[in-house]
Amino acid sequence: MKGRNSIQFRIITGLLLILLLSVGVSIYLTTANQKSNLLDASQRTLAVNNEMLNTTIRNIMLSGEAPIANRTMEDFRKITGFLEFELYRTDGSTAFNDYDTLNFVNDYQSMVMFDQTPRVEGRSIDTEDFQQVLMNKTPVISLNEDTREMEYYFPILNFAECRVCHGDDEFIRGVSHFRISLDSIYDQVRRAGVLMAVYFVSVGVILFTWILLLMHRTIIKPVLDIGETVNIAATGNLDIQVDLDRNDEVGELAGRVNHMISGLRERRDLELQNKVIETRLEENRKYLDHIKEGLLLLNSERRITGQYSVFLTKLFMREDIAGLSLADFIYPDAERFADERRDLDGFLEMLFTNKTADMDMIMSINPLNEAVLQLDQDNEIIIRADFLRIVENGEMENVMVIFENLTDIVHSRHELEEERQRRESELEQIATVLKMGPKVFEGFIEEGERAFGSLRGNLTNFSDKEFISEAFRSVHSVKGTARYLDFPGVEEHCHQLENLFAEVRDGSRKVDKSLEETVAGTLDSLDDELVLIRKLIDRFKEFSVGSESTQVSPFNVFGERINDMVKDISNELDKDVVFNLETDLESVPGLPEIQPSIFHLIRNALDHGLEDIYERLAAGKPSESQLSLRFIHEDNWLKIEVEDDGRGLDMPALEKKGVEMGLLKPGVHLPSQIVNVLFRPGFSSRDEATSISGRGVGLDAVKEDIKKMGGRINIRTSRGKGTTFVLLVPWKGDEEGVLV
Amino acid sequence: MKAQYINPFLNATMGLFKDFLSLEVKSGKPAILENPKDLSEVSALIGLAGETTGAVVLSFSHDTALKVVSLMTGTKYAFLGSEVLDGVGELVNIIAGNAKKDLNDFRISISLPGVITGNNYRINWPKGVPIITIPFQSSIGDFTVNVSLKEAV
Amino acid sequence: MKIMIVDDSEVMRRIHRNTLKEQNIPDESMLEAADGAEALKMAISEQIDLFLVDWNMPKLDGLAFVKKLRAMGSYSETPIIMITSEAAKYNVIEAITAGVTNYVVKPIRGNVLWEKISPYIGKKGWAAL
Repeated sequence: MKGRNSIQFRIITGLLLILLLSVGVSIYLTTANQKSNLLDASQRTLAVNNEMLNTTIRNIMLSGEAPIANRTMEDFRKITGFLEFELYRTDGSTAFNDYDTLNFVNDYQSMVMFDQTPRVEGRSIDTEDFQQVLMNKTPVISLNEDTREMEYYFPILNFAECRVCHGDDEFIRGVSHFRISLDSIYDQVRRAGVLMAVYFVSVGVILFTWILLLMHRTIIKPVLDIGETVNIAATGNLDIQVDLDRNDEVGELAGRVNHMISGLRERRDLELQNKVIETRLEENRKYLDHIKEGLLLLNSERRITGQYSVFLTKLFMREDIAGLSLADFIYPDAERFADERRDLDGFLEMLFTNKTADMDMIMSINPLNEAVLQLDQDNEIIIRADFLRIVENGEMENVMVIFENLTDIVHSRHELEEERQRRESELEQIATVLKMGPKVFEGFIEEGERAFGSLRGNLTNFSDKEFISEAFRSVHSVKGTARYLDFPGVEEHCHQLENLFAEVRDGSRKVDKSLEETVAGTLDSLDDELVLIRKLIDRFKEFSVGSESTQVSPFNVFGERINDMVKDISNELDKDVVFNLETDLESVPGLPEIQPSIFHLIRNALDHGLEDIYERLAAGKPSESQLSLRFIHEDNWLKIEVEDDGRGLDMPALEKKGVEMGLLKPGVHLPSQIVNVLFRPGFSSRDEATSISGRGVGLDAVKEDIKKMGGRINIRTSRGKGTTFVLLVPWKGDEEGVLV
Repeated sequence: MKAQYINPFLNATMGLFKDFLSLEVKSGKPAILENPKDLSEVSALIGLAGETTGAVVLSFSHDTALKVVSLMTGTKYAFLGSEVLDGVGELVNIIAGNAKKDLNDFRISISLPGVITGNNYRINWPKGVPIITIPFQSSIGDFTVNVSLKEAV
Repeated sequence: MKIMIVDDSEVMRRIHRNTLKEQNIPDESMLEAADGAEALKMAISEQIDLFLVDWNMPKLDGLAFVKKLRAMGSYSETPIIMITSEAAKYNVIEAITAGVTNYVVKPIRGNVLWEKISPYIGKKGWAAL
């Protein structure tokens, strides 16, 4: 506030001083000039007057009329402004005060004498100026400012006509002295001065006011406004701006101040935002620590930010995931999951860049919809990820990914499905038992108990290659029967054991404590299954005492079961199969032993041997396939033929595969050598495992079983026409074909 | 020509008629179309190109064509006008388009559908590839879906 | 508000039109084009607020049409619904990349089309027409 007064005070003072000075100087210069002009003028008037006086007196005096001169002078003295008017002689005495000159002239006169008329008062003068005129014979003028009077001494020259009466000894006859008042002049000058002062002062005041107003409006007010704005800004209110739209220097200043303030405001807003974000992050952190959902936030670089829920790290069993890409997080094994990673990256790219596309369309190609992830050897999770675009200020900044753990849901769905199947098969089993009696099942239970018991006794023996192959075959065989009798639980568990043994055989799984435990656990489950089946049969036995006689022969049971099996599998494979069981025999001795091999060959024929309907149509064959199973008693042999009219063995492909697998040496091979490849352990003619033929389960198990029985296998095949497997085992019954 | 390549067309047809037109349809035994002239009076054709080539033909009798398009649009048609032909073309377009989704082995693109009537025409089926014809029975009449697909080499 | 139906099939255009009519959308706010090229011409002379586009069309197919439309400044954000029989994953990806807003698979069952497009009409409000 102080600075504000001082600026204005200084400006006003300066202005006033300049104004006063200029007004004073102007008045002084003007009046001085006017006075000198006026004085000059009166001086000139006096000179002229004097000349006129001289001439007048001279002419009057020529006729000796001193009294007229005297009276004339008396009259002159009455003129306004004439304070004193006198003629002096050179000796300093007043002219016309005595009769000397009259007497002198009268002495020379003869006829006419001049009367002695009254004289003027005799006085004398001896001023400096008077003496100077006598000396210099030039007029002297003197001005007395104090008395405002002007005195004029003027020499009266002794002209030729004067000398007649006054003699010629003198150059100057006398001095005329005028003393005049300058009052009128001074008054005039003073009046002019006052007028001018009034004029200048009023002009000055107007000028002053105008300058002051202008200054106030253009400089002081804006500067004060700017100052005030800065003051307000200093108190922390940064939402103000100097309201000044001008193109001059002040405008520029205002602009700079505004710029400064908005800069401050931006910084403050930024700080504020940072604080808000910090607070929010803090809140998010708390939220993310406690929420029971797998959440994470991807930034625009498609990287995981520091914001992810603790639940997520527990779900995925990984810590410190910030900075990873989603692909690195979900599929750390870049080599094995190259395709999945590429899909996921492409999906995210689309999510971030194709903002015109709506989420429901993008989510229709979500690659993380029921994705099965192997976290480590023992932990597998099934997840679904939902993606959410987070838009802030119209810009998409982040994508939130919400993981749902579907593991339990999917598993229980599977369990439900298994349970449903179990119930269905239980009903079927009851129907079968009703039809065929419990004997078939007792045989199955015995077979299972034998196989599982042997495994349990040899849990520490898994590093023995020979034993593993044997275990594999026995489990495979039980699985086949379980499938045939429709025990999906037993089938599934056997399948698991089979896989484990296959892995041990291939060397892809280590023989250790964990393997032992897994096998023991599966055996426990299998035992439970067998107990259930036994209970079922026991209940049935109690219920159906005495109805044994109505039971159908085991061979007929076999026929029905295998028919059902063919129907089920062919439906599943889109194949239209006519199954023919051809035999003249009423019973087949040793059937339980040979049964697994027959199932295997039938399954093989359905899966690999026969084409689907369209393939057959395209190949010009009828859409219906023929599959025949024949039992023939020939001499001391039981001959079993499994014949299909399918595609036949692809010998070149078989040969190629055999060489690739190292089962054949490169070079030319006999057909029998090539066919032999089929019976080597671990051979599979298809790259992928199917639920029907299993994984890597070859004909080696069949060959081994048949060999044990002292039999052999032959194959007939014709490309495009079909394949026949012929099993030859020694006949076990008596000559009439009656069961021993 | 395997089931995995034909089934998508079969399923798409089933889906179209059952779910969209609410018609009970039953598929019959597939056969080889020995003589392409054996197709019915109104046939809509769509070409398949890309990693494999082929064609799909949806073939109706005159009456069935009228009924199916009437059902589709909710407008009664009495004669084979351009709208009916257009509608039949749209049906085969939907079958081919939907089938693509399940043809996982190769990418194909489908052509614009074309519709032909009468018997005086020839279809450029893929050379040397048999045509599978699948008969369908429905309450508005029978029709066939005919597929020929040259598999990826 | 203007809706443009782009489909080479007369029948499909009629079906879509009927769907919209059932929702009280007046005839005069619906435009029809039989292919992408025709649609593009119409879209230049008149600002359209919603497109229903078939994929498989002669001259200029749906995908190429969407790409051209998106390249025009005035249509960079207009909702475009692709209506097609093709639902393979790579088709959806192509559509998204071209700039399609949403995707309806033919055959259209029940009220699916209206459910898909009503959010875009709701945004601007039908009263604005």
